[in-house]
Amino acid sequence: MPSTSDNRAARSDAGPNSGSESGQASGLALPPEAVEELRRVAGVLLRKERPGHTLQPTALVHEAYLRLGARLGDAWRASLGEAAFRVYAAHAMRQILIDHARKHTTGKRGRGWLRVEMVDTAVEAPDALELLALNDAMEELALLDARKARVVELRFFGGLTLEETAKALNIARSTADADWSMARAWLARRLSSAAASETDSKDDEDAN
Amino acid sequence: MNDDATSAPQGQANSSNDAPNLFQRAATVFEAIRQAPTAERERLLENLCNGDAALSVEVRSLLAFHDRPSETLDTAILRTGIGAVIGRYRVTDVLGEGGMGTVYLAVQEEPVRREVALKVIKLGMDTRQVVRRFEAERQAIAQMEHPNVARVLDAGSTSDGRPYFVMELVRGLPITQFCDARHLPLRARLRLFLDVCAAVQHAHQKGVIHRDLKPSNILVTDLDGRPVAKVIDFGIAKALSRPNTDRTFTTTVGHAIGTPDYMSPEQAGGSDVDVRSDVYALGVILYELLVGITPLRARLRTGSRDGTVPPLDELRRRVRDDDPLRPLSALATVDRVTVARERLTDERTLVRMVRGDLEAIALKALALKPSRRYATIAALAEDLDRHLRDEPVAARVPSAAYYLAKFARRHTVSLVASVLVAAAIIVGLVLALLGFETARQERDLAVKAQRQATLLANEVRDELFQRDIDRGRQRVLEGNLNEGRDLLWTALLSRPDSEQARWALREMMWNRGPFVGFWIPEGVRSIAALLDGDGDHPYRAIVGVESGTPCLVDASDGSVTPFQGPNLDARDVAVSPNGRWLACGDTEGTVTLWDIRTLRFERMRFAVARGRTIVRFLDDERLLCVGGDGMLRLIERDGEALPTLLFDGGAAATHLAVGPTGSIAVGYSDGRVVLVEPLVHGPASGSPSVVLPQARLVAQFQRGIIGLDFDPTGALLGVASAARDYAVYDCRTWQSILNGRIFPGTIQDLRFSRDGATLILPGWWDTIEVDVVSGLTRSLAPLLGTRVDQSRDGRALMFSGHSRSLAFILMTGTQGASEIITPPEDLIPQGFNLVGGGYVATSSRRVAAVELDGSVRWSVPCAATPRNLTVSPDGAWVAVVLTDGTLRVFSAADGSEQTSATNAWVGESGTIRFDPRSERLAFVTRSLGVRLLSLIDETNCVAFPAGNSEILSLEFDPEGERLFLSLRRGDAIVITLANEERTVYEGVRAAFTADWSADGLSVAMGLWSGDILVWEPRTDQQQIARGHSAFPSRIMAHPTDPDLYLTCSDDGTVRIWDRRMKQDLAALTPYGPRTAIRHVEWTRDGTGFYVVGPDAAIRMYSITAADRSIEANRGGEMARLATPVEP
Repeated sequence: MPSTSDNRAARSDAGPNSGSESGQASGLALPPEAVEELRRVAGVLLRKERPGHTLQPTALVHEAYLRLGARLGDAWRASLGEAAFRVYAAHAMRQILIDHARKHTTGKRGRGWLRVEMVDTAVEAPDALELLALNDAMEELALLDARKARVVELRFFGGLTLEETAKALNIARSTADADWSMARAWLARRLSSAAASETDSKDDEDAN
Repeated sequence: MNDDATSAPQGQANSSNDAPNLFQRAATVFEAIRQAPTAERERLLENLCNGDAALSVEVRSLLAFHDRPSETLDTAILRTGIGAVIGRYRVTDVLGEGGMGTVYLAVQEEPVRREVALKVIKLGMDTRQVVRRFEAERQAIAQMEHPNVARVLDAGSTSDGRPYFVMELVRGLPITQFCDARHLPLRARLRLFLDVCAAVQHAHQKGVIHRDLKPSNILVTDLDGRPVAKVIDFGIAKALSRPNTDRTFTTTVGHAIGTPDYMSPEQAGGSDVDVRSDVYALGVILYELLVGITPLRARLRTGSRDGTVPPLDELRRRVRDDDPLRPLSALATVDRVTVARERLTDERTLVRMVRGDLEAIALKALALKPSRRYATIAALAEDLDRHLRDEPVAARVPSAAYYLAKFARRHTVSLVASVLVAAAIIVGLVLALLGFETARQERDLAVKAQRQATLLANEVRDELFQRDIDRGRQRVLEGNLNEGRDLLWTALLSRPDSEQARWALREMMWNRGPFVGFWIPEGVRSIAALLDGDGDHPYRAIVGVESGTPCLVDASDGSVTPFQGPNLDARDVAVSPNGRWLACGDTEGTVTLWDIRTLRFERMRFAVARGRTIVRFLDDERLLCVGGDGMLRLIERDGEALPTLLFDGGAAATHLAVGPTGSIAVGYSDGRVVLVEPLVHGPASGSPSVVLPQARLVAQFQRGIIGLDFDPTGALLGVASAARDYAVYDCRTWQSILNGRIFPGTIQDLRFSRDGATLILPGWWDTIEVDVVSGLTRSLAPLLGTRVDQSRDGRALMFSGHSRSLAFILMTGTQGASEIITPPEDLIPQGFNLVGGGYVATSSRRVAAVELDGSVRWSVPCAATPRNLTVSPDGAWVAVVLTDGTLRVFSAADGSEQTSATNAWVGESGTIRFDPRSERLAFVTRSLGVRLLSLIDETNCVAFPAGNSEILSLEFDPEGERLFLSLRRGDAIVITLANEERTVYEGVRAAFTADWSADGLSVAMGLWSGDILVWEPRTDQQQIARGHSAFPSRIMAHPTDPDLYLTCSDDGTVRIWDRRMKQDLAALTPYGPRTAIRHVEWTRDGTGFYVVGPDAAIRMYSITAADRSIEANRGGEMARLATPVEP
């Protein structure tokens, strides 16, 4: 199939609730209170206060949605279902997490990469540097194929399932699956080469 | 190809143009290929790329990353989960995340609704292969049926292609975490570990090797206070392995799991895996349970200077090549104080326990070469079991000294008892050497089957034991106390040393009783004081906190409220007499004061003492402190004045007590007890009071003083020392009136009960209560306590554990209305269980039936004073003997007189009884014979002589066929009524009270000597069921339980005891010591009993909450009764 037209289709069919794929618009569509709530959720995640199931991220976003519903009223809730909220939330979370990572990694690049985590019960929240690298890679990916980047955003930052992602972007599930697989492999390669170059530069520093 | 030809030569500038192009083409090919089997990929790639080298390279590279897990990308920030449907399961929560994936809580709706654990493996694994391999092993896994194995129920793949496993849901902590959090002692850890061994051995017998044993795969849950281990993930590691390339497997799993700690050398080296790999992994876990660190980490700590962790390859190499560090050496790399504390012991003891056998066993399991390890898990378990039984273990290098030591430990008693110790040792040596030879031969001969048989026998024994315990608990919960107790007793008898059985039995006594226990949060040390509460919060405790503020813990719900103020390391706390102020002493001599009403910090006095500081209030305004320098100082609570030095003890002070008269006792680490009496001279002219202390040495112990308390009157001082001994001194003469020693266990503190009747000694083993008058001891609660406190109203006792962070509050009553029933004026209750409830009471000139609410049902005037009285078993009749020798029988319902007789003997209270069917009445006549009066047929009256001695008591057997008589002369006689056949037991020495057991087999008699004798007339066997205590004035057998008796004694004690146990199940002194009790009687159903004291008031107790804390129960309304009541 002609990939360019497919790409265009994705742009136009991004769905009524998800706004344009450029992302900023969907971020703006959330009221400031919602962004504030999500910031709180992100804060909890970043403080790593999330072992076990008491602070499950999806649950946190769900809770954020409920709290906002209580604050902003039923009209707001009616205008924005939870699924749609999570679409917005995915983008907002990305922004918040990346901003936070930038703030906290100034001058720290190249450190903390080679670490074997010996604790096997909890997976570490992604390293701030990894997040930044992923963000960079996703921006590159967006230039190549915006829809695939969008799928990654929804899946990775929003925690949407394949079905939910497909629905949000108004594409077939199999398309979402294909997008995700390709994007995942591409990003993984991009990240591994980024990591390699980071290590190299670190070795250089050490040598000096 | 044509795309490349047109745009590639432009170089750097092409990225915006060419890259998307290549990307989109690669995406198309990638999508077509990615789901194809590996074998077909190459062919497809060639076809689709059609000679485009760049495209082919690109897709190949993407495929490589597609197949590989990505740490970053496979962990979504906001995970999917809750609500998702995977196969037949609906995800409801996230249980945890591991290296391999996420574990969810899920619900299965069909065919049965149940909660399961659903483990979704990370992307990057070949799903079909994983599921296929799982299916291959499914048969074996399905055959596993073991209480310590969590079943794997199902497997499949999610819609996005990830493999998942469905397992029995186990909510628990990893075994190492559980043991540390609960501070399980080493032996308890080993027992738990043996359960794990049994589970793994079971799997091995079914042909399933776990391959990934580690603490997070061994979850321990608390089942009714009993730790139960479950091994999870059987069969999963195998399914996830890649059979052709084991090295890839280990890399992948090692990488994904993230911890090489439990990986065996052969796994690290990529060699074959067999049961001995599981032996190795269990060895690591054993090691960690012993010393709190894994061998690999211990090795890394000794090796690395900067604490950095080497890369995984290096770790694997070390697992493969480095011999593990000895556990004792590993202890040097950890915080030994914490590790020891987590095992409820001290450093030195821990070292002693680990050294030798356990070390050898762990190292044998951890041998680098599989052939040098235990060949089976059973062999490992057996060796541990031998260690627990003090038998030589196979892992130790045999030496004569070793076997001698083992011999000596097993036969401590005989060795010690021998006068010729040296001879015994020689004999022992010979025996040991012989034993050693035999043992070695036996071992050589021992075949695997034999080992398994032993293990099996142990398993059977364990199972029986466990089943008895479980069923016993169940019965108790169902309210079937008798059967429950029998089962628990059986369990305890089969394992006399079983803490579990002890717990269960005790628990039975506390069951549904006023007993509240809770864990206080981590970081809270339980150095505690109990406060009297207000209406809403009956009891509150204050607990000290390590680097934090003190906390207020509410006993009603366990809620914790911290005080507001500075952090401190509290080591001692005291509450002022008015309950308003709290003082804390820390480790550096600083004393802080807090307001209990507002929960606020009040003031702080720095460095008023040195070292660990003990604080006590002298009165509401002044407090005392003493610390490591032994200087006893007086601090004005409110003033700014410097502390006044009262006394310089010259050694570290360890305890401090203030008596009601202001006497101060200080205990020192050198065993001295010094009495300091500050003589307070009245202020001459408004100046502060002058303190002129006088000090004197009042006692000297061998070891440091660890408990001191004055009794409530200040007349007695109780002292306990670290040598496990205790004494009570008369404060006038300073002679000890009571001495004792605790064994086993230790004493951690000493307190007088609020009524002064007993000493309470919390300790490591359990908490002992010592009767101050008789010196009798009994176990109050199987609680590890370091401090105990009793509320001012005497109704609550609080135990606080040490490092267990455990506080128990034992409610011996509640605030509010007392359920003491006061009869109408001048009536004294004499008998209970009348039809329709109520009791019968007498005054000097009348007999009355009274309802429990105090209203009089009927009242009959009498010509003479009613003396002895009895109620028929069915509650329908009341018989009374008046002082003039008249016997009258009334209907309990309306007081109408049924019959009467004359010439009744006005003797002891037990000389008039109804038969079990309530048809006949037996009474002693003035001629010292017995008359049987029929209530149905008035003419049917039998009389027969008993002998030429006064009859003290008579009792029908439960069938009504035999009559027991006890004579003042000293004989006991059982008369079979049908034929007047007599069985005589001579030399009873006057049983004033007696009763048949519910099964009619035996009679318990209370003797003048204080003994209780149980006699079986049919076999003429007798035994002293209880040794000397005070003279029992009444014995009453439980209406249904043949082993349970209720007794009241002249020392004011009411006891419930078990004739097999020869020990009190419960004892209470409702009116304080040495106060005669008028009457005790079981309720008709035996679930409780009545006590009538000198004040004629009735106290009703429920047997389910025995001991001191007995619950009163009336009309379905639960209320609690207290000891003691103000006389």
